[in-house]
Parts: sequence; structure tokens; C-alpha cells
Amino acid sequence: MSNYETVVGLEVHMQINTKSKVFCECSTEFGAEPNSNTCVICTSQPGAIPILNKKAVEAIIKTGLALNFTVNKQCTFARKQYFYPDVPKNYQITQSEPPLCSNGKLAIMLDGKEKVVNITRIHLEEDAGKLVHEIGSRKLDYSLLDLNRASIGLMELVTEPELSSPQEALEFLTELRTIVRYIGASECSMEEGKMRCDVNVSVRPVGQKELGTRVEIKNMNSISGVKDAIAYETERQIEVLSRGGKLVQETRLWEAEEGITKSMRSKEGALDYRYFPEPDLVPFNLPDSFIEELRAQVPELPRARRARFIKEYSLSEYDAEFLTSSKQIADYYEETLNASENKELSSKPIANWISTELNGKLNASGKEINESPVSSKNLAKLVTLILNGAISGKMAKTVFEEMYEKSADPETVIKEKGLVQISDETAIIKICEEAIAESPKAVAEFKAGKERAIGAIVGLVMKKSKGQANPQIVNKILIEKLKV
Amino acid sequence: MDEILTCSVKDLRTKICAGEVKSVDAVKACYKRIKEVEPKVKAFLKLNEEQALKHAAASDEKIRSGQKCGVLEGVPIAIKDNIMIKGESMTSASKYLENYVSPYDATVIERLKSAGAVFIGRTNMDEFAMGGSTETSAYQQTANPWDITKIPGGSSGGSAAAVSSAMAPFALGSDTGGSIRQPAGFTGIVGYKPSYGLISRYGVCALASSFDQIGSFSKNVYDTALLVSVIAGKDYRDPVCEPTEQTDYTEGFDNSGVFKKLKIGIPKELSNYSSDGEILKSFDNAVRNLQLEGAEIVEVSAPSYKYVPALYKVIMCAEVSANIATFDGIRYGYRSPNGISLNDEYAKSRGESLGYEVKKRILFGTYVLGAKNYHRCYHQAQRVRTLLINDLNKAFSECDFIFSPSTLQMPVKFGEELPEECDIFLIAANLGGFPGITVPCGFTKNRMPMGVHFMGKRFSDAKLFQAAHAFEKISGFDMSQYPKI
Amino acid sequence: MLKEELEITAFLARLEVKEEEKERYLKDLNKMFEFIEVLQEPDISQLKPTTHVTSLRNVWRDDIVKPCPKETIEQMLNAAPQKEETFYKVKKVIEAQ
Repeated sequence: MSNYETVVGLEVHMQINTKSKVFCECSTEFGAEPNSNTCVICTSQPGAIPILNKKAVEAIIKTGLALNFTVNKQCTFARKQYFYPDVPKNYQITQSEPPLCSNGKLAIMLDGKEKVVNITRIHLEEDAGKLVHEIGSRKLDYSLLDLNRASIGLMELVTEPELSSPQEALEFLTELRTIVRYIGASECSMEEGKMRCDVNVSVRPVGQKELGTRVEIKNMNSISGVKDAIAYETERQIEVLSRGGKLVQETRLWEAEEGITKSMRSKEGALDYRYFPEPDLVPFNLPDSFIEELRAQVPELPRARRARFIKEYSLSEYDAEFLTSSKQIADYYEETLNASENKELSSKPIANWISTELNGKLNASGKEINESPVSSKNLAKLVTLILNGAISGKMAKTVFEEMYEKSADPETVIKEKGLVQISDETAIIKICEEAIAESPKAVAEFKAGKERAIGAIVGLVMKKSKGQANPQIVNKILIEKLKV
Repeated sequence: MDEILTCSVKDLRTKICAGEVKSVDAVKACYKRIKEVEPKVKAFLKLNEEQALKHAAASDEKIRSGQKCGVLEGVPIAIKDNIMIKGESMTSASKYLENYVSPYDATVIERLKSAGAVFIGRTNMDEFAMGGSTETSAYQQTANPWDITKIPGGSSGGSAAAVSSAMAPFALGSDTGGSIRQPAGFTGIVGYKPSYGLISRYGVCALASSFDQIGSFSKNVYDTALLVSVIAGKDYRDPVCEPTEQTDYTEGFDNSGVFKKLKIGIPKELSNYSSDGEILKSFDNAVRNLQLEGAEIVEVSAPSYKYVPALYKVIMCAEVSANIATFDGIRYGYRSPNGISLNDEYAKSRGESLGYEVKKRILFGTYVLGAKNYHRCYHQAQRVRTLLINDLNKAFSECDFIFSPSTLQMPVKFGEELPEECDIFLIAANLGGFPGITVPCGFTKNRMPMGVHFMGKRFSDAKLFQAAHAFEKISGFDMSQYPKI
Repeated sequence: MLKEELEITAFLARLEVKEEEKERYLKDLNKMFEFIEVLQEPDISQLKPTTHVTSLRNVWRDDIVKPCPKETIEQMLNAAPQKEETFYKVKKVIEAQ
């Protein structure tokens, strides 16, 4: 097996994040009643004409700029013709040559090493409707057509055949998704079918220049699925070749349950898309000023931000990775940091609070960070209170609970619960003396050199002080008292 | 004949607005005439007297109660059956759309409604406007009112016949390759196709999207200008529809001596084609009249006129093959009961409901767009189209209008073919997006009308009307004459 | 054009062409092919294709939702040859057409 290498190219379809469809004014809302988001244009009634959504064009150009593409200022739309019930005009409005964006690249990290993947193009096109073949478990002997998705804007991104392992494909798609979400160009939620992927897989003997026979796996809708499908297909192809068989260029389907790909036979010579320039939509001639405005709107991208977080806030790889995994989290982190009194001291604790406590609670209640009941301002206050010893880390957890439940600010919670930390030495000395008096056994052990024995006494002090005594001070005093 | 019927739209609207003539009476007059001649002419696919009278009564009431009336308040108009009117049938003269009811109004219809016009009926046409004789209609054959053994021309033959036989004061049509101007010429009325992009295409059943334009039929140029003033102008629902300052296209009609300032170009290529002797005679006469009016006559040349028929067929059929694909029996229209698989059902639904001419054009268009033919066929045609446009723009640098007979041949009997080059001077306007208007210029010995065609630079439509209007005064064509049917 | 080519073209266009009609189609289409030949003669090596006669560019609208009226949607659905609930009902679609 080892003398073969895999060659993978991806065609990624991402639903553009707009309120209205790309060629009509219907809503793009997901999960509406079948055909309730349709109109005379997206059902292709006679005399209807497409009208272009500017925001869809902007989303694609922004994505292109973020991935170092060349924007083709002069381009137009094309009709791609094929009969299918979910394509009401029986042609899809798309772009042929040139597309809106050409020749971009995306860098991915593979066990510490960087690999740059070249991307051929990004173009704008319209989505098709949805065909339903079964209701629940009931398989239908006919099909049902829902055109709510028809004519929603899609960006199709096509890579060069440069990925050479299932893992690389996974890394590419994950990084791409993060970036596109950062830009806000697409939600890329695969479960809602807002990111779909066709995978081209071929194998060739190591060292061979020309590509092997290509197999296209259509309509993958999960990143892990893509990974598994490539792995399976690689093995299958190598298996065929190594027993002297021949591969056919074909389209296959990924059967997730069985974990295999199946050939989908399509009528020979039946496919001829008969592309031609779309006469209903006028061409583009995009002014530089327009493109520069969009360039200015492209935010700092995940990798750059990750690096900056590590450098500026001296965070661990791990924390930086997590905090930059979405723009919302990264923004929340920096808002919190900016609201806190001492940035140096706060940067790590804040990172921890977000990645553990807050993240945990959000996941539990299925919330996004921008819906967090704990505002960045309040989290900043909490961390400050801990840093200047007003409350112990242990109390802080209780306080945080309240803050989350009641979306309250820490001071109020602390007042209500009377959770003030006792740092007044004389008060603590008094409690310590009582505690020492009440635990002769531990004292004896300690004096006999069993340092750990002090724990029991500390525990007692904390108990007497209802956990409000400042642990550091308690330790200091006890040691003073016992060492004499 | 009832003087309401011989009255121009210009006067009719003034009289209706002044309460001198009731809209209801105007509509009744139309229907009285329809009952007399329609059995022989067969211009209409659908009539709705009741509804028309209801709308007319509403206009009369508006006027009686002193409300402001629209530009075309209460004036009857006929509409080609490929333009969408909400809640009304729209068949495009095809079996495929036999039971189709339009779910929305075309932009031109919206504008006509708010101007107060009254729709009296839907006119016959070639199926999906594919044809030049109205014979490919799936429903009926429309006769030329001047000789009911002959074709009225097409594809908008129904609108032409209705106006020329005074069943309607004016009408809407669509023009993709002469479909308004050729039948207007054949029936002795004014036919106009705007600059591509002057009038919204939203709601007209598409034939060839890059040529299609809605236009009009009327008995004089002023009435057309008036109608255009109502329906022209920017519409965000049609991306190719251009913003224009002009809102009143009837301006400057009273100016005398229009031609003193004009250069009229006569295409040298005219002599390359065999054309009807009487047509050439009346055309020469028209040229002489222009000269007498002080127009400067210049010979212009556009050698690529010879490519017009080929250009038109290749590009039009290609676009047809894509535009007609949506008629698949899935969401509306005819679905064959005989399909055994989805693909078989597609093929049968289309095969059984579309006419031969339509299917032939779809097949040709499908072929010229095929991956292995595209470059040699469609792409090549689009480049030759550039050559033609360059030729014509060069010609326009030497003249204001290109002047020609509207057609090179007279209308033929049913079932007979017209030669390909019959209306190349009209089709050239569609290929270049230029405005064109045909105006009657005389009769043949056996009382058949003939017309001339003015083609102008893009968006010179207002100027085009002024020239055509001035010509109509000197054409010697007696508009008060009507065909004896 | 040969019979086989006519059949492929007819399939692409999803048009049933009956055996007895093929003769006629072939005759007429082959006549139309002369148009293609005519267009080969001029020298257009220096010319770009005219895809649009308009000089308009970048025509677009803002991202605003204007829902289609409920009754219009109903009317469109009721025009369907077959429907089920609010779906358009069609013959079984096999993955690869």
C-alpha cells in the first residue's frame, strides 16, 4: 500500500449569509414550512427575471480577499443547463470563466508544519430546492419538492488537487470554515446543509507526475465524513490497482452508515451543461474603491489572532486555540481583558474562566457566547475581585454560579451572600488560636515533623470562618504559631 | 363606422376625461365591432366583456365624481397573450399553458392599470412568439383584415389585426425579431419596438431574453408615444432596464420642419435583395417625400446585414432552448399522463404540448450550445453580432436614422413561406438593441397596405417618434380608411 | 446532423421526438445548419462577443426580504399538476438523472 499516494481536491459549497435569496426577495430562513419561502421568481413562473442581491457579491469578494484571491472586476453570470425538478428553470445561474475570484491560498497546520493549499476559484451561484424521498421512515415511491432553498446564494470554492491525506482535507475544511465564519460570509452549519462538499480522490504511485483516475464523491455534509470517505476511497482504489484492476472515472456516493462509497451510474453522454452567458443579468465592472471598502471590512483572521494572543497575552497554544476558535469568543475575551484593571495579571485567569466555567455552562445550556448571561464587564470585575483578594477562588465559583443564573454583577452577589473574605489578621489570629487549641493531635504530629498535618487545622479554621478566612493568611499565621 | 372607433387615443382619452364620451360606451363600441369582424379575423384568444365594462364603469364613476383621471383613463387596449395580468389566463398561444393563470402583473400592466387603461382582451400570437405569421398558435389562425386569405404577420398578429380592423384603439405586443413591426407593416398601422432596456421585460413570457422588448400597435405615432410615456422607464425588476430622464414622449410633435435637421440613411444593401416591386416603388416615393421636406438623404452601408438571418436564428434559438426549459410539467402547465419515468415524463409533457416550430427551435438551440459546438456556433455568432453592431454604429455616425421598407415582401397566403430576408432591416434592430418604428406609407394596387421603417440610435426613441410623426403627415397614407371585412 | 445526434439532442432537451417525425426534424435542422456555415465566413478574429447590448454594469439590490403574498404562493401551488400538502409532487427522482 505504502507505494501509493492520495491526491485530493475539494469543491466546497457554502450558503451565503444573507436575509434574502440571491436572485429574489424571499427569506432564507431555515426550516420554514415547505414552499412558504417561494415567489414567482424562484418558482420560475413565466416572465420572471432574477434580481441580484448585492450582499451576496460582497460576501464572496470579502472571502476572496481574506484568502489572497485576485478579484476579477469584469465578469458575468452563466446559465448551466440540466433538467432536475429541484432546479425550476432547468438551468442554474452560476459563473463560468472568469469567476468573481481566482487563485487564492489557505495555509493549514499539520503536526506543527505549515502547508499552503492553492485554491482555484470562488464563484457565485444559486442553490437548488430540496427533494424529499421519504417521510420519517416511510420511503415514498414518488418525490416531493420544496423550493424554499431554491435560489439562495451559494459560494462555490474549488481547490487545486493538492491535499494528500484525509487529515489534510479535515484541517483544510476546519480552517476554511473558521475563516468564513469570522468574515460572516456563511454560517457553514453542515447540519443545516449550509456547507456541502464534493471530494475528488485519486491515487498514484509515489513519484508519478500525472494524476490517477479521478473519482468524485458527491454531496458530503460532514467534515468527519469527508475524512472517512477519502480514507475508504484511497484504500479501495489502491486495492483495485494492486490486484491489476482498472479504475473508472465516476461519481460515487458516501454511505455514512455502511462507511463505504457506492457508484452512482449516470446515463452516458447525457451530461452537457450547455453553459452560455446569462442575458438577464448585466455584467460586473467592479470599481477599485468598491473592492477596497470590502478589504477594509475583512477582520483579523484566526491564525493571526491566535499568534497575537500568544504573544501579547502570553497564553498557552491551547488557550489561544480555543479563544480564537470563533470570532465571538475572541472578541468576548478581549472585551473582558480591556475591562479589567490589570491586563498582565488578568490575561490568563480570564482565559481560564472563559474556557472552563463559562464555556461549560454555555454548552450545558446550549447558548452561544454572545448570548452569555455573564457580560464581559462582569467577568472582568469578578477576576479583579479575586486578584485583589476580596474573594477566594472557591467563593468566586459560587459567585459565578449566581452571576450566570441571575446575570447579576459580582458585587451584588457578594453582598447578598455576605461572601466577604476575612483578611483582617487579628480576627484570623483569634480563630487560629481556637483551632490550635481544639486539635492537639494534629499539632503534635506537625511538631513531630509531619508537615501535612497542618491541613486539618486549616480546614478547621476555614470551617469556623465559614470559608471566609483568607487561606494564605491562615497558613502564614498557623505556621508562625506552631513553629514557636 | 362608430366614430369612437375611428377616434385616436389622443382624442378619446380627452373626451373620456372630459365626460363627453363614456368609457363604457367606448368599450361597448369595441365589442360591437368585435362581434361584427372577429368571426372572420380571429384576433383574440380571450375576451372578457363583463370585466372590461366593470372597469370602464369604474373609470366613468371616477370622472363623474371629479377624481383625477389617469393618462389613459377608461381607454380600451388589447394585450398580447404573452404578457402577465394577475388572475387572468396567459397561454402564449401554447397548449402547454392552456390552463395557466398568471399569479402576478407584468410591470407594464401595473403601469397601465394605474393609468386607468381598460383591458378588453388577449390577442393571438405564434406559439411562444415563435413565428412570423401567427400560424404556429396552438389555438387559431388570425387573418389579415385587408385580405382574410392572407397572414397578418407575426408573432403579434392578433394585436396587429385587432388594431387595424378597429376592434381596439391600440394594443401591446412583444418584438424579439420584428414581431411587432412586421405585422404592423402587413396590416397598415404603426408598430414600435423600443431601445432594448427602455421598457421593463418583467412579466413578458421570455423568448430570447437579449432581444425581447414589449412594444405597441396604434393607428398613429402620437398614440404610441403616449402609451410609451406610461409604460417606459426604470424598473428594478428588470436588471437591463435603464434609468431615463424622458417621461413625456409626446414632446416636440408640433415642431414643423423636423426633417430639415435630419440625415436619413438608406442602406446600400437594400439593392442586394429581391423585393416586391410595389414596395420599392412606394419606398422610393417615401424617400422623395422626405427629401421634399428638407431631409438630407445619404447612402449608408452595413455589409454584415447579410448575416442578420443567420445571427438571429443561432442566438435566438440558443436562448429559446434555455428559456423554454422551464416548461417541464413540474410546477405548472401540462403534465403528460403517459410518462413512465421522470425523464420520460419530461419528454412526453414537452413533446405532447409544444408545437413543431417550438420544438425545432429548442433542438437547434440545444445543438448550438452543446459543448463541442458552442465555440463554432453560439460564440461565433456573438462575435459576428459585434461586427454587425459596429457596422450599424458606423452607419449611425453618418445619419440620424436608417430608413427602409418595413418588409421586403407582401404578406403571403396561409401555409406559404416568407423568404428569410423579408424583415432583416427590422431584425437588425433587435440584434443591436436599437429602437425601430414602422409607419404605413401607402397601398398596393389591390389595396394591401405597405409600410416604412425608421431605426434610430440606442435611446433615441423620443427623436424617433418625432421623425415618424412628421413622416406620417406626408406619407399620403389615409388613416381614416379601414379594411372592408 | 445524423439520427443519433438528433436523439442525443432531443434527450438533452427532454423532448420526445417520435420515430415518424425524425425525418422531418432532420431535414429542417440540417437546413438550419447552413446558418452556422454562413457565420464562419467573416473575419472576427479581432472582435469580442456581444453578450449584452446594455452599457449598464453592477446592477443589484440591497439585501431586503419582501415576502411573496400568501395567496400568491397558494395560487402557485394549486397550479401544480400534482401536489401533496404544500409540496410539489413529482415522479420518483433517481439520484443520477
